[in-house]
Amino acid sequence: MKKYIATLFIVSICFGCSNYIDLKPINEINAENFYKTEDHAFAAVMACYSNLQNLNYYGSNYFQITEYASDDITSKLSNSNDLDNLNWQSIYTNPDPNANNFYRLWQFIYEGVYRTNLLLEKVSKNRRDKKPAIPFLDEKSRDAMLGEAYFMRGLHYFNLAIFYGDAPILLETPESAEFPGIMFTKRDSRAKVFKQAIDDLNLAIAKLPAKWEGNNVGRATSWAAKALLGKIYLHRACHLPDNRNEDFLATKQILKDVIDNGPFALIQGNWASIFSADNEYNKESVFEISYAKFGSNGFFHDGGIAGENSARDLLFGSRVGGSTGYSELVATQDWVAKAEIGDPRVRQSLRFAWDDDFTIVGNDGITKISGLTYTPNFAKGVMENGNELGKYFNVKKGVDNYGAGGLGGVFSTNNYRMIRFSDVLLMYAEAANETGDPTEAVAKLNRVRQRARGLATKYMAARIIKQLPIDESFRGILFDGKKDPKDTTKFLAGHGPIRLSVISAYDGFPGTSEVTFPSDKNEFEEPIVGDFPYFTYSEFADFYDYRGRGTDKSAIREALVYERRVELAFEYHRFMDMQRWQSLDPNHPGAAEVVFKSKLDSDKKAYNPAIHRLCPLPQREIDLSRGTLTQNPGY
Amino acid sequence: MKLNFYSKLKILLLFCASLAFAQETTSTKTIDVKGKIVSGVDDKALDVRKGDGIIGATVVVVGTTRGTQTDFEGNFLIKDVPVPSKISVSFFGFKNEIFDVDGSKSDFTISMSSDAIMLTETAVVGYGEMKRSQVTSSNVNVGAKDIARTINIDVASALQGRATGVQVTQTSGAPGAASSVNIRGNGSINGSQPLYVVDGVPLDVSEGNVSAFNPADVESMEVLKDAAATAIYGSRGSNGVVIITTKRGKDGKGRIEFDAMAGVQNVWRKLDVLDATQYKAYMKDVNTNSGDSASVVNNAYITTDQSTLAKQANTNWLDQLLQTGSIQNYNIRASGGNANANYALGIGYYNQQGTQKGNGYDRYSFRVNSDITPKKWLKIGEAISFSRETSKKGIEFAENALTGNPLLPVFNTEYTSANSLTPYNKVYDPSLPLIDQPNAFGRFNQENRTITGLNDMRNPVAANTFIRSTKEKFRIFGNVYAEFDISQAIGVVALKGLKYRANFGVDIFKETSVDIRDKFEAGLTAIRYPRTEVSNEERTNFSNVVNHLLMYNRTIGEHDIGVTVGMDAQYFRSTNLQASAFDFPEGIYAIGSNIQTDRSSGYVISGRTLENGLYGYLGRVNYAYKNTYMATINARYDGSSRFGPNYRYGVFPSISLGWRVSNMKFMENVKVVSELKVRVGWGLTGNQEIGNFRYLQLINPDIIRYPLGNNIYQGQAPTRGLANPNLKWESAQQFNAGIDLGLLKNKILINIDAYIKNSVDMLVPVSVPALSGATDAPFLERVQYFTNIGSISNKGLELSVLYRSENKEFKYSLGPNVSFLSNKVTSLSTDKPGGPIIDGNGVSNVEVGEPVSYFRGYVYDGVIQTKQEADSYVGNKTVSGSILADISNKRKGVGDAKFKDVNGDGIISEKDRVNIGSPIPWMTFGFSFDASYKGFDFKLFVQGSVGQKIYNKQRSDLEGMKNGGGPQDANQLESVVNRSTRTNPTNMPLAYTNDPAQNTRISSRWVEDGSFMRIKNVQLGYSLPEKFLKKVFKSEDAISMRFYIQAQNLLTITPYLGFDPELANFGRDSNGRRVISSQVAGFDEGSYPQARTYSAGLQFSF
Repeated sequence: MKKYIATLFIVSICFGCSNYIDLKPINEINAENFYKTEDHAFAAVMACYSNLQNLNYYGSNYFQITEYASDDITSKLSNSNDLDNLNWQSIYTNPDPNANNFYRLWQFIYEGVYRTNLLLEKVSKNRRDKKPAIPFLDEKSRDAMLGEAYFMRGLHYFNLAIFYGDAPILLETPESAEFPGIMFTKRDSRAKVFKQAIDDLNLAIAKLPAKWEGNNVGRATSWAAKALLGKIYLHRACHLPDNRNEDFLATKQILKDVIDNGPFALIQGNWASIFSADNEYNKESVFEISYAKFGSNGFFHDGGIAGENSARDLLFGSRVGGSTGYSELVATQDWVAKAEIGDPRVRQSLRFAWDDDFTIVGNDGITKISGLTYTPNFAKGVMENGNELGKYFNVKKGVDNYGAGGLGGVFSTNNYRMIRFSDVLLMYAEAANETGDPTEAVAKLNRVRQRARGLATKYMAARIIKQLPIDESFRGILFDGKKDPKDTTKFLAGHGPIRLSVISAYDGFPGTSEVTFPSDKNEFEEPIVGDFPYFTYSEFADFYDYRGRGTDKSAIREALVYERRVELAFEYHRFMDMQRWQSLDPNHPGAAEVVFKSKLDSDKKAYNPAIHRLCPLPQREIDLSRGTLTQNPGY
Repeated sequence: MKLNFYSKLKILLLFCASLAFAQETTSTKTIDVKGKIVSGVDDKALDVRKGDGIIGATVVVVGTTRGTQTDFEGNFLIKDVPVPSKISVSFFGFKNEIFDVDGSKSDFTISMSSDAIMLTETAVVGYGEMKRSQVTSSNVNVGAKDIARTINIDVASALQGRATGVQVTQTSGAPGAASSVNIRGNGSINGSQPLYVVDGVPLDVSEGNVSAFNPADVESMEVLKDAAATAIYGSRGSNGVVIITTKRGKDGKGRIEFDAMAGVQNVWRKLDVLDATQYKAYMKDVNTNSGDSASVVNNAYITTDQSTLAKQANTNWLDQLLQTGSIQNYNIRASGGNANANYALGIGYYNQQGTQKGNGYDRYSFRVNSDITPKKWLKIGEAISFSRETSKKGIEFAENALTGNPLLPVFNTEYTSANSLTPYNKVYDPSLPLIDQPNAFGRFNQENRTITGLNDMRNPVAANTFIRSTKEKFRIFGNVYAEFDISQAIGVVALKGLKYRANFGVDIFKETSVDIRDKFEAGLTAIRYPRTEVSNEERTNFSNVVNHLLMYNRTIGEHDIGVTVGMDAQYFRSTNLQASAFDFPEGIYAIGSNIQTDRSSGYVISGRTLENGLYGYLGRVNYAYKNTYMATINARYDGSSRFGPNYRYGVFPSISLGWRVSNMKFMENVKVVSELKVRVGWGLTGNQEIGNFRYLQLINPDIIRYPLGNNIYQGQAPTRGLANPNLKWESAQQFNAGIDLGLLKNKILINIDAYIKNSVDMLVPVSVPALSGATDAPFLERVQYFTNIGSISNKGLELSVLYRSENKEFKYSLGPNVSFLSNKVTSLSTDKPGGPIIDGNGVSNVEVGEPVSYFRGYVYDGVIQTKQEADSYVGNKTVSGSILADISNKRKGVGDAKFKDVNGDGIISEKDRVNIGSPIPWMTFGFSFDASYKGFDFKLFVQGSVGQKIYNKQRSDLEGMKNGGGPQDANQLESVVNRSTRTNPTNMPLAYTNDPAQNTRISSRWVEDGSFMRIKNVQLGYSLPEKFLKKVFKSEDAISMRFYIQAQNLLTITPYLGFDPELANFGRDSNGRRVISSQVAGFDEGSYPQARTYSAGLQFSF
């Protein structure tokens, strides 16, 4: 009996073997049970890309900050409620360190830093957590993933350098948020941040493949990394005077490699098709941030914090005609007015009344719908109610039902072309110009220009064919070298093939694109969509000397400013370009101060380079750090 | 060996005794005295039955050191006892007996009777029982009699107003609604519900509801309030523990009890809204004040067109939803037993039809408890219950009913048959007259709107009919135990009182919820279900508990020693599976039935399993000397799966001391005091209700995707913040001091306790820099990181008095009790940045220096009466350009509300929002009065609380007159007839569309005093004389029969204007569902008012 009791007693004590509390989550993936297979690693890579496409980053917030601050974009104040809802802040219209979008940008850049750091830590052969390395079938896959992490981390640090200047560099994930640790992180100098971006990109170039196949197309390539590296060098050259010349040379060198040896080319013919949703990852795309349609409510998926759609269409998109866009970001009249007469990119970057689903009323060229008036004055006042943007969706076919009253106008599934080959060419041209090589600069500039300008004549021809009035500013069309006849239609009716030349209404602009007309009448039915023959400018001199300034550096600078502004309009480059030109030379024709001084819009005259060259750090971050983080001057 | 040990012990004891009674007597004649000491009473607490020998009683020759202890049979032998002499017999829990030895008799049988009141009563404590007289912590006992006095939906509600320091709130007047219980204030924003332990099986705290248990089965509830008592529950002890003990059989003849009760229910309060005429006048005002002249002209509200007027109804939507509810409760119980076994069986049925149409609840319960003693050394038993609860629900109470447009009709008569499958989907035909017709609900369609100019709204009656949810919950709950009396088993008297007990318990329940939406249209835009939808959720919870206890309870001389050591482990698992689908043929609502549904229409299937576990060692030592000086030490070493490896285990100790002053010599002359005990205690307890695996960094895939090519790839990254391996217990230190006082031979019993409870290491979200990178996705505004830094202080005083008259004929007792509480958040961060925690409702805040969930808002300053007043009002000052010094940036005129510029900065801005009220009552009270005269008895129970504020959100919707930002054209309370106009200001602001001046902003205008006193229950009963019954039933056995009538919630006195001042702490979860929250209190969105119930019942036992 005693033994019996004793045994029971022992049993009771030995029950300590119980495993009731050593539990792990059954449903949830966690850092303990994840990062073990190649699939896991791939999912971690996707998380890094997903961060880029997030609404708080390139999906919306990035362009709210960059575009609205520029002289290209204004908000359509008629929808001031929307504006309030979006709570927009630009650097100088409302430079509030408490503003949400400055905070979000900072937050999501650092989320990107965190995710890329995590990827590096988990995918590296020597893991920081001392766990066995993830096995890969092919070590190249591991390298590629590490390369992608470096590529994106470099991009994040580049963004930090250009937006915030000095910023903390974090190369490891914080183990926990315990006090003080991550709370008290200091800013590193802008030079260090740039250097980190460049170092990361160099590592990325070494590890990334030159090409992806199949469903992997869209992941970063070594060419994308090179192009991005060139961009970073160019920005650093402008922002930091110390190694300016070397940086311009580095830009030139690395972009020359991309231009000469890379797989990219300019799309000829339909310029707008570069941006159409069915033409993603085209030969001109160096790197894109990908969007797709997911379900019916992707945009607001999970509270609107992530998803697969961009808010671009929501904010840029038209509100008329049953569309659900806010048309919050519209082109400034300045952008429209400063464009060269006949530059077809104006037409193709803005939304026009006859586009898409808009019904043309009458044949008088005056189109009225939903309070919008379209005056086909090519260069002056495109839309009465705001120059709604057309890029990315101003293509008659191919994009989801933009403007058709469906949700297509909200949920943009169209990829953002973050780096295009024309950007590469123009950056190269700029570096060449700054380093005393005007010939190269002009050559690359003209490649971009010729591709685009070739369309102008075609467009005019189409309008003539359609018997639409030709605006007075196009009187400068020469028919077989002769002046515009009084009655164009009559003149053309009895005419055989004819050579058209476009002459600008502005002085000294010898636009001489030519087309033989009509080679095939049908060719001109759809002036924007169809394939166009390739036109070349007859002479280099036709272009560079257009204001009689020769090929000196400043003239080419001016030409580049214009070309970037029009070629890359509404692609989130303009403001950051203005900022770097401001740093490079306060008298640069594209310098923010110079630009804003000449502006007509009163709301953007407040630019003060001493303050507005950088974004404010989020006040919240400064408060949390108890002042360890410092604010940028002036805020 | 055995004898050796025994002898040694005896010697030791005798030695002790010799010290105590160091006095020798001299006598010559001696005899040997032998005898048997038996119990004169049945006493469960003392573990004896009448006639049993008392083992180990001390038998001493008075005035000498000579004595002995009784053996296993209760026998003793003392040799050479001088004659004459007195022999005293003492044993704990019994009155000391002294008998004379005069030489005439040498064999005695002494029957001991139990000690005075309180002494023999046992108190249930964690993992055991104790003599109540020796309890040194603050416990409250609520017995079966008290429980039976009110109509209790669940067991916890019986505590309401009875246990000091325990705040019980009915979560709603809905049938089957559970109670929310706070013991000694809110100790954590992460959960402050107590731990329930039913027959030794702790329930899952997060489930927090005991509705499955039939109150009629409950023998007693012991509320452990004090850390000194709850420390033995370690990581679950800090919010108090409620130990529920169910009824077991007693010795004696079998007994059958039957009781039945039935009654009717109505809501105790309704809110009056505008009728059609008043409503039209109000809408006209809205339009006038909004300057919307166009809508005035075309508006239905001023139309004189007879055909339109004829179509306008005068509907009171609330009345349409309400009904007279009913309540029924039946219990049958059989119990009995003998020395070797006892049993208790009970069957209960409870049914309630709610005061809102379509709502109901019922519960079947079955319980069997028994104890068997097959061997002297072995006792085994079980307590097992089975229950099934079902509840039916329509829409949430009064949702849209009060705001419903009275001009709209409830029913339509005729329908077109186009595009409809059922009568419910028919379209209103405006050409036909509107006549009520059951089961025919029309939508208010576009045509109707065009004709009458009425905005669309949801038809609450239709919604209540076509949206239905039913819930069914099966629960099997119980435990089995085996208890070994080790000394009996191995025959060692010295080990008397040493017992080993093994307990195994399970709690298994399965809950099935079915939500059905019929195809219907009950409004044009507001609500429209073009498809049938069924969603079905099954949740299975499993918990098992194992504990092994070694208990030693012994009285040695004047020393009472109790030792309990053991281990305790419990495991919880909850699995849920949810599925929903559309387009069922109407009338067939079961997923899984053989129905072809349109796959493209979307099935949703989800599920998950959660686990957690606890494992710990526990111990208690209690010691009492002379039943006068007492000490109890508890400790538990507890581990929980919820914590990081660095802090998985914690130690929770407590100590409490007691002194029964009334036992002291100097008190002998203080006749008025019959009992006086002073207690102090300190303890450390924990709270592990922080959710599972918060210490781990979870990787949440839902929101991370990236498209490449034709695929959308799932990304994986942590999105719930950073890991915190140091996550640990929330803990509470509590200091308690108390006095138990009995006056006039315990005719008056007074109990006073004061406590300070500091909850520390509360898990709170701390803002961390965004640059840390691990975004907490749901909380973009603040990257959150949970860490143990918050603290809350609760201080309180509790007082209860019981007076019992001793009249023979007219007996009565009076029992007031009152509790005072002060609650304050003392820190949310120490060295770490943190900020107030603001609930999503915009009103409730948790902030340092303020009570938990206090209201933060503007200070309402009345209505602008004159133009001069408007001009001088600070909110009308110009700040810059056209910006006014008020967040509304709208110029205010006569009839608009004013708010105070609290900080005096000249601007009425967010910074002027201050504490406008605390939802925590500073006093809660209860009062009971019982009287009986001959066969009649009368019981009255009053309960209430004082000082809590309620933010009447419902009134802000119903008296705000903002006509926007909610249901369109919302109807308002009748009180708005008193509203201002521009020319005739009153003390109530204007009606407006969309409230541009923000007169309805969160402000003290909506904060009301929520104090109330409620006559919870009045009962009048009559018991038939037993003699008569015995005659009628020709029975010899005891028999009783009682009839009674009662009224529950008969009268409520309160200044509060809403439905009910008794408000549960409802917050909303991430899905917008109302859940009990520890961060929200006193926020009234419109509760289901308590029912006033009239019932009659019968209790019969034989």
